[in-house]
Amino acid sequence: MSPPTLDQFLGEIAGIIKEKNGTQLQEYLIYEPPLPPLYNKIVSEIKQFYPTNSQKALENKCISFIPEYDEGDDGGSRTSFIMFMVKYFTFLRDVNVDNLIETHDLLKALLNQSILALSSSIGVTVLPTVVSLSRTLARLAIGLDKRPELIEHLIKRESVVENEATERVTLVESSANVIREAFKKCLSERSGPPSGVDSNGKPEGRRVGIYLMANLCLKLFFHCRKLRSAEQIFGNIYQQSPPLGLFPAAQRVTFLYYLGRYLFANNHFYRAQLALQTAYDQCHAQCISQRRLIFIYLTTSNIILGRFPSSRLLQRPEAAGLAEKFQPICAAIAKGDLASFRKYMDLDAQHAEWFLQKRILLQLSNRCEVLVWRSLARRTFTLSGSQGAVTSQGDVTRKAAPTLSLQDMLTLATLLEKRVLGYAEDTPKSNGLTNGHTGTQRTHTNAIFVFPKAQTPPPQEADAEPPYSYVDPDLADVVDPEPPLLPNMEIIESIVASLIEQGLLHGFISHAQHRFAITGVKDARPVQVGFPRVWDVIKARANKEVPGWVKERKAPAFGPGMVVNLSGARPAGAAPG
Amino acid sequence: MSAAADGSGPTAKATTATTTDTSTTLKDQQKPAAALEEDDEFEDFPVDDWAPEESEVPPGQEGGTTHLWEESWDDDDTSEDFSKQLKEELAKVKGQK
Repeated sequence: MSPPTLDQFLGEIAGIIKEKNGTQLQEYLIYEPPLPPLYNKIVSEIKQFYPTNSQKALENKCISFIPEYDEGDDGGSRTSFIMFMVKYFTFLRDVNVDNLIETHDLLKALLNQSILALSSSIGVTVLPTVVSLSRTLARLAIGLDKRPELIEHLIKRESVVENEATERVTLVESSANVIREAFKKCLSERSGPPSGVDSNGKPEGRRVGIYLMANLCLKLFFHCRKLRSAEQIFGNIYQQSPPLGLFPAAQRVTFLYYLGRYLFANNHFYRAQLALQTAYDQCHAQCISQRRLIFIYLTTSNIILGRFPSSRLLQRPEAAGLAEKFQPICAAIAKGDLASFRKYMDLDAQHAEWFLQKRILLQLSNRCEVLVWRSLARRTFTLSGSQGAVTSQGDVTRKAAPTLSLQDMLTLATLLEKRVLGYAEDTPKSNGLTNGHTGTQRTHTNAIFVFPKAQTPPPQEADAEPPYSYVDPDLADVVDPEPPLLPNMEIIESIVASLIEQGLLHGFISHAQHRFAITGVKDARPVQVGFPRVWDVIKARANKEVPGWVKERKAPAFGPGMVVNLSGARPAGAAPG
Repeated sequence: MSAAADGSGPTAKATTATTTDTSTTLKDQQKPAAALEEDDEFEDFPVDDWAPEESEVPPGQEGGTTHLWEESWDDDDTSEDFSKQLKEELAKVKGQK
């Protein structure tokens, strides 16, 4: 006797394969509980007719409905698809969803087999099923990762493996690695023209799955913080993918979000902003949760680049509650209020935990500090700078450049840093403007290079005990860098020099006079020439190409299978004709 | 996972996901983290494609279409408290010399 329901099911699958209806195939291959009644019948039939260890019989059953070779398939083999069907039935037979770890492993094996079937002659038909399995596996992996009590033994197993100097692979990452194989299969599709685009302007063959699979991998790699693996996805896409614009909106927006986050994490804020702005613009207006996540990183990138969100933008639904977080930063930057800025970016500050959780605290605090210093220099200039003057002596007209006193800037910076340190502002100063001694102040970014002058060691008494047990002779005279707690003239000068170098101040430093002079003023307002708009400066210097984002059809890359026309080639070493 | 097939055949909708339970229990367990507002995960979109018009922010919420990002934000007001305090400090330090 033959299992009737299974036979009927396989007959229908064979029909679907013949029609190459990938969507219908995916809809038929249900694997998530609760299974519909007919599927439960199939399961009990498999259990009855094909218990464990009857792999070969099940295989033959499948082959009896789906021939391994078919003339219509260009002579291609379907063996891997048949093996996938066998795996599918054994999955239904063996899965026990009460054990999520085991389910995860079975599902991963099923996905693996479906990916092998991607290479069969009906690969494109299998693709929707691969996408569906990948999505479920990704969801399950992330779900499990959030339940440490379930994966405790795995974590232990991993740490043992780690001791053996093997690279540690988490459950999430192992799932991502399987899905990445599907991504590679989609990307390496060779059918159709080299551009990978069919006559309707759509991605050809398995290429339609490139961004679906890439986005799932990226979701998992970001979840387990493996940005290096994400980098490989972007690199592969940049080399081989058809243009992103040919793919559906959801895939474009998701991909650009991850690309933007990756660029952001690598301090490529301008490129991050380009990717995130496009993601934001193309995101469905009603998908508030996605718009909000994009908006958070877009806003952070823009603030770092000197572009602040308008209050109108912050009124949008996806920006609910974000104004109170971002506006104080913008206000402190605009004013040059170093004290408020430092307090706001402190780890104990009100929103610090939120910034940390979003992984934007360090970027905001390090990068925006530069902008605060630029504004402080500007404010010093507007408060006490010399606007420059034209003096005439006979026929000679001399024009003095507008300048600002670095001493004044030091005075203001010291005042503001003291506020952060909690000094009473009228505490008498011991030595003017230099070091106080409390332990909490943030140091200059380059503090490690700011050495105080080595002091001549006091003559030591012969029997005085050395303060440390051992000092290497090479390091005997080295003075530990003890950064000044309050700024001094060297720090101010180096900050101003750095701002000039970055193009954020326009002019030069007179080291002898401790002044910053604005050059090239002519008829313009000195403050505009000396302190150009931050966004303008950064934009002018930025490279607009975003690696990972394929915008246009590229000339097909040189590679295996390419026909190269050498008619115009010259012998090596020949002069250009 | 929307599985649907009309007509005959042993198909029906598979609606409930294996992992739905996982994520709900998870949310219950992670109350402290939930205090940090939303989940960091970029959710799947409910539809795969949409027309460019559907990306436009509905009228009334858009807050205008121009100047969404401020590029000129320098604060030239020297009469507010912050500037006054700075001015006083400059005068004080200069007076000490």
